[in-house]
Amino acid sequence: MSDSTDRIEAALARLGAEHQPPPGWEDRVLAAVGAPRKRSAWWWFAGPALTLAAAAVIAIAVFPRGGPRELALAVDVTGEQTRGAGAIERAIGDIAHVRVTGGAGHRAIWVYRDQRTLVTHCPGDPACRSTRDSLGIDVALSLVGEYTIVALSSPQALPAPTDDYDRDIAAARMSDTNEKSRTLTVR
Amino acid sequence: MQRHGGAVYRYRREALRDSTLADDVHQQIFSAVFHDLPGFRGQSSVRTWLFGIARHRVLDAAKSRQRARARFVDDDPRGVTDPGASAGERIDDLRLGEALIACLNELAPHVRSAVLLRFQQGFTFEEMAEICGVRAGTLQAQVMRAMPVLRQCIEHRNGGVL
Repeated sequence: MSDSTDRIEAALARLGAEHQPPPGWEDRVLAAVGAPRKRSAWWWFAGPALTLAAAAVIAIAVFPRGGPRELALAVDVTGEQTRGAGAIERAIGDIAHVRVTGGAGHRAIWVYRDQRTLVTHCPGDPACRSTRDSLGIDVALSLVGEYTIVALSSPQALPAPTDDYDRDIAAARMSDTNEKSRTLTVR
Repeated sequence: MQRHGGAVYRYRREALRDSTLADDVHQQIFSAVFHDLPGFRGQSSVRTWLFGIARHRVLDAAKSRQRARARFVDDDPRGVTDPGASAGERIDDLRLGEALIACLNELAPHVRSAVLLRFQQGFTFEEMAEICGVRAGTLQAQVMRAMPVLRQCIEHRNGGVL
């Protein structure tokens, strides 16, 4: 393949990478299909929200080990960022430091590349760090692609992941599973 | 929506090159997805199924625009010919990207769509066959024929340099 063809293909892969959907588009779709909106005017809920926040602070202070915390996924990436591509794009060789906290019962981290390849899963990977309160793993972003990092928690044992992202998520959703995900694009 | 919204947005933005029309189409795509979701049988991946819907909407919008443009001139400011780099030089990535956008716009909508699905979105020709309802070999031939056309167009816009 010629150098010029390679350049064109690379330019096609980059095409539009700097563009994101306009803010609020998901709400507009939900409104168009008649589904409940995710957000509404914030001041409608300001009073009740403040009351709930105050109650939550008191509850945490009085009952520090109350019910399970909400599932949380934190992803920090170290390494050289791809030039000019914004925070969502990363370079080969970067390391994604993934940490999951909260949730109930069983926790898991599944990492896919291009939703076709299971890069790693935790528990399962020897590099997986598991404590009573958290699960963590460092993932080397060694190939170009879109990395989908999924945090899951369920009161029941989670199924073993495969190379098929859609099938794995569908299987996980058969049980009472909470999930959070982040996507990193490596170029 | 959160997982695939960005990729679909990039695809239909470059396929249509009209931000107002493209934003409308983006809403239509995901409204159609909600409408068709009960009929999704899982025979293909969600991504493939979603891009099948997106491609239909994009091509429909492109046809409508083509009819409307019988009366209007393309207002894409990036379609202007650049005198280009001098002989012996390579154009930089920015100018390559600008020329590429203009040259993609000169391809037939279904060919442009195939090129974007292959190289921007990284689909295999087999996946594209599911998306487009066209044989993989036909799509491969379309894409392979389009690449020299794009190269020549880019070179023409940049004084014979790529």
